[in-house]
Amino acid sequence: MNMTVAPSAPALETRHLTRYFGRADGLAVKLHLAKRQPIIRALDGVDLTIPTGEFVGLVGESGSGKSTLGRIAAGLLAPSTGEVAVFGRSPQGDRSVHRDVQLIFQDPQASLNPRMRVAEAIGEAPLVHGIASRSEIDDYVCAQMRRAGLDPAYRQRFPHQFSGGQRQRISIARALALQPRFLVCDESVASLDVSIQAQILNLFMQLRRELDLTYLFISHDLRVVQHIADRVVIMYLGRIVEDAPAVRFFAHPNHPYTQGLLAEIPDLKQRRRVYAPVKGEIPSPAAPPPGCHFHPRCPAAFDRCRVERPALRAIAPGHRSACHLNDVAAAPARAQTGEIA
Amino acid sequence: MSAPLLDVRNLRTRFRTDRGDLDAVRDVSFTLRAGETLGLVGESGSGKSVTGFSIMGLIDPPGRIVGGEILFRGQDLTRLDEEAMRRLRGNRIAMVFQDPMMTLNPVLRISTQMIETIRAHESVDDATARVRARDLLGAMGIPSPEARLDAYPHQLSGGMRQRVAIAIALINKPDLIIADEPTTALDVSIQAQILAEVQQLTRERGTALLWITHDLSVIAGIADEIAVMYAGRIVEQGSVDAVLDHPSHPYTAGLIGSLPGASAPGSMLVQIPGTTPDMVDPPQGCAFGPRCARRDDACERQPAFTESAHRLRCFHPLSGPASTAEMPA
Repeated sequence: MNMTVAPSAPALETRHLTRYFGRADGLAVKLHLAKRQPIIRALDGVDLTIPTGEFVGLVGESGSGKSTLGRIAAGLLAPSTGEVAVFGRSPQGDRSVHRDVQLIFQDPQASLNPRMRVAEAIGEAPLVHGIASRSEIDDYVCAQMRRAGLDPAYRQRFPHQFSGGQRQRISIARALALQPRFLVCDESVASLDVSIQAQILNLFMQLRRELDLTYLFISHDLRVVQHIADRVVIMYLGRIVEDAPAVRFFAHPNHPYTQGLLAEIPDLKQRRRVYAPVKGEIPSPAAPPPGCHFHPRCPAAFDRCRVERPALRAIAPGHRSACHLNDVAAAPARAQTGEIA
Repeated sequence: MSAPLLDVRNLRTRFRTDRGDLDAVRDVSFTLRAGETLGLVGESGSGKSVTGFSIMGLIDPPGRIVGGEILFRGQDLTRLDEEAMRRLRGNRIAMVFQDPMMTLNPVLRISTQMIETIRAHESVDDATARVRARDLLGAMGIPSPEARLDAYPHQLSGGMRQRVAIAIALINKPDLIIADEPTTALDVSIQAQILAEVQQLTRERGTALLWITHDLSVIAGIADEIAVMYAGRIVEQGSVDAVLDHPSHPYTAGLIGSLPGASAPGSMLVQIPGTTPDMVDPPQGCAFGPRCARRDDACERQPAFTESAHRLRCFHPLSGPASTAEMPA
């Protein structure tokens, strides 16, 4: 892959990205004294490009690999194979990337040091990176807190003295203090009450306009993603199955998994509905089914799906889907235009 | 109409804290008939879960029910001794928690736990109980239920565990199930499966369901009636259509507005300013007042709960039902 450092470099670019968890067989396993550890393919060949300024919603259920992808994008994990570039630079090779991309977690309680005052939590990294000097840091912290909707008067308090929504604002202020260009939000609103969730989502939208940020917004909640994202990427068991501009995605979902997910979103307007859910459980990422990972649960699966992995390919401008059904559908169309199928 | 299965009247549940007494549930009243589903909606600290725990008799001392009645089939549960309550729990009234491990014992096989639940309330032999347990697991959509019976909870996925917990709640064919956010922690596709199965089972058996949740969208799909709680009180209650289509309490309207999906993509969501009140020292009068755009002097007093099909606790409702009178002191 040839990626050059340029201002126009995408915020995130991955090629054939894989990430395995689990160890190679140790001595105990070789001597049959211990069970073999299963290798989990958290990411199984992910190609994704996020141009600067885009707000991408990454949606998947448990075990889909969405958090692993977020962590690799933020430079917290190294890929097993494949390539990753953040603003054209490798997070492993070039540590300067780490300032440009910041991660905001689901649980601010867990991601804030309980013994650190808020001023210290927000101010530590800017000091280390030389963004603000000792004499400037207090003003700098106050500015970050104000921008995240917090009262700077409380900067000498500890995280436990704040409510859940305010704590999430503290993690946002801490992330913004490094002046990142790219925010990776991993279920950042999932544990918040609805009214607080609305406040934080509004803050994300406002910051995007003010700071021209790029977002990788990881969520299991399609309603939130529909509201906030430009583009939606759906993952299932380590692979991207669909990727489309949000408007098109919600109007014309292509992949059977996506269609099932969309049909199941609880909706305020649907009363006394009868749920007809996708059957079966999500298989274990340690033993994914062969071929298309979704085939055991897919109502439209046919022989090819059981053996051959479907390629993620364009079905419309900006819209990618990984489903063999698209080949079946496309074949008569090609015949009409006179192409050789 | 027949007498309601559950009739909660002026329930008040109090906890003791370092800073003084905290009434988590204040003056909550509602009824539930056989086969009916009531959605009890509220945010953290609204008292919705404590209401459920109070009905189940699961308030740990020094927390206690300090006022009101919980009439279940005409019998006041607040006056029952622990032994009588134990006979009801898991038998006539069952509870499903957000975390299935609240129900499941991690060191016992699923079969042991299910058979134990049956035999605690009924004298049947092990083999009969086992067959009933297996059939119910199958009905809950658990594949190869016979094999699952011998599994331990940790060998099952989260969705599977929640199904087992629901199966245990259903096993003695209770008249009332209290479900406290049972699908909140689950993936969307698993959530829909569980909703489908619970719906079917309550329909077939005429079980009444008290569904406690913060998620109005889930409630919209399954409830007949909705009660919205704020700071320990029900502030609005009515049929699912009345409450969701014509929310009258400013808090209900705010909750609906703050849901993504209610407004155009990319637009700013309606925000309810501020945060929930300190329950040890709640605001005078209407607890929502400090966050409410319609607040005026009248709101310094506690609004009464109107007596109508669409009930309300507000002096300045948005539309629909008439405003409330001042509550008698």
